[in-house]
Amino acid sequence: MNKIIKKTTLLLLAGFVSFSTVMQIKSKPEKYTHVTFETIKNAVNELGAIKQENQALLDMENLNKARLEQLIEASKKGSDNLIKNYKAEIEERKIELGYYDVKGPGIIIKMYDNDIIRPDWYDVNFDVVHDGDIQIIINDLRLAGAEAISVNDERLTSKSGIQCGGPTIWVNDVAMATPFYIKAIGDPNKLYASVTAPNTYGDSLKEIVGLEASVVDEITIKAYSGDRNFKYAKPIKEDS
Amino acid sequence: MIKINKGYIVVGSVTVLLGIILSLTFKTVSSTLGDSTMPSQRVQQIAVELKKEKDLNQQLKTSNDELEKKIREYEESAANNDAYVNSLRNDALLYRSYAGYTALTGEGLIIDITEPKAIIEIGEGLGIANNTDLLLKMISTLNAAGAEAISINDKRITSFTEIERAGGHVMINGQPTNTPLTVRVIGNSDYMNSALNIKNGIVDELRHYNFYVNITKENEVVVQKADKQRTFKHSKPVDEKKE
Repeated sequence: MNKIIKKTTLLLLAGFVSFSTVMQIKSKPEKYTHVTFETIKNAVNELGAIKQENQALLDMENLNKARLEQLIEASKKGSDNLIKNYKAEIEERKIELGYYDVKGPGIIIKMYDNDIIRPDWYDVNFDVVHDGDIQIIINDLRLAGAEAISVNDERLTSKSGIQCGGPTIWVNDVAMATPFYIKAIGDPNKLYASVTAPNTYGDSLKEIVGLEASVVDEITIKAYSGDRNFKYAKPIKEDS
Repeated sequence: MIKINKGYIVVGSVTVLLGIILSLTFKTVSSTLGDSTMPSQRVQQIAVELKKEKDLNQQLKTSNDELEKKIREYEESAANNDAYVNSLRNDALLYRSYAGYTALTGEGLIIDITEPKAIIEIGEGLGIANNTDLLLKMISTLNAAGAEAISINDKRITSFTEIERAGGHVMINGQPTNTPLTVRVIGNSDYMNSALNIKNGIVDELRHYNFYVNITKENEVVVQKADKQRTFKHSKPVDEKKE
């Protein structure tokens, strides 16, 4: 009797062990990894982005609160503070819009066509600085926090076009040709890295055309001299 | 006595063998999966966090809207009392609108850019995230044709706008977005339309990469304002008179 109990226990245990072994072997790893690394990366990216946006909104809220407080104060004590605030805001907007020459630390990038002599069949397009190259370099500089940028002393604004036109490139409706000097004010190390670090566009471009970047303690970037007036756009009344 | 011992030894060794096999399979399964259960957990965790941040985002937006409304009321009442304040306010509003901090409306174009479904399923390599340079080119083309205000999926293009690839989507002004893209632009719609549609121009290039591009002219295009204000750390005006 004792023997039978022992043997059945053993049998049951063996059955259990083999069953779980089979389950282990049969279970497909993919079953549990519905979430790929890419999905996680995207989710993390999105989270990071929204956090950043929230931070910006929070800053904006604080700014608005401070402004409202000043306004309330001004309404009690007269408008001196208010006038000061408006003047400060106008100044800041004017710097932003490029009304003034500005100076600060930054970098100068020189881009020029490659003057290697090529055989006739060679497509010289590869040796030339294109509008797209400058657009991407400028985008990279903005990503690195550039505060003011100029191309051959033409200050860039939100309305600047950079376009090829025959042998020249047009910036702000001014024609220019190689070499191009791009100046940018901002954190010099970040700016420098954004065009020279491995895997940046600037770094790969260096293999094709001429590109030299140098950090400068203080550079001056000229004001934007063109027209800013709107012909077509009107502000939307925000009363509601 | 001895016979029973032998049986025990056999059973014992078989058990040990099974134990080793079991632990081996466990180990291999967990090593092929990496942190197998972790990822899904992590994703859930991120999803919860994301929801929280989105709620906060909404909350902040409404709070900001309310604050701005109040500010406007105060500004208006202050301006009504004082002509100088009024003129300063008008100046400030003008510069704000130049810099992109005001929503604008006017004649212009609405450009829809979509990816065909089949291409999305093929996967990487063909999305707009891989072609952010085309967006830069489009902005540049529009600007050269006299665009006055541009937004992409309601993200206003300012003088600080950067367009960046982040995984499978695009970041504009630090905010994630993806196709379908709606570009709203104010300006001379005929000039801009021709500039976009010129042979070998940006529309051709987009189509070459299999994007669907649809351009419509409208009399009342609305371009939203930028929702981030820029501050300056490094730049100073050169003119000494300006402090």
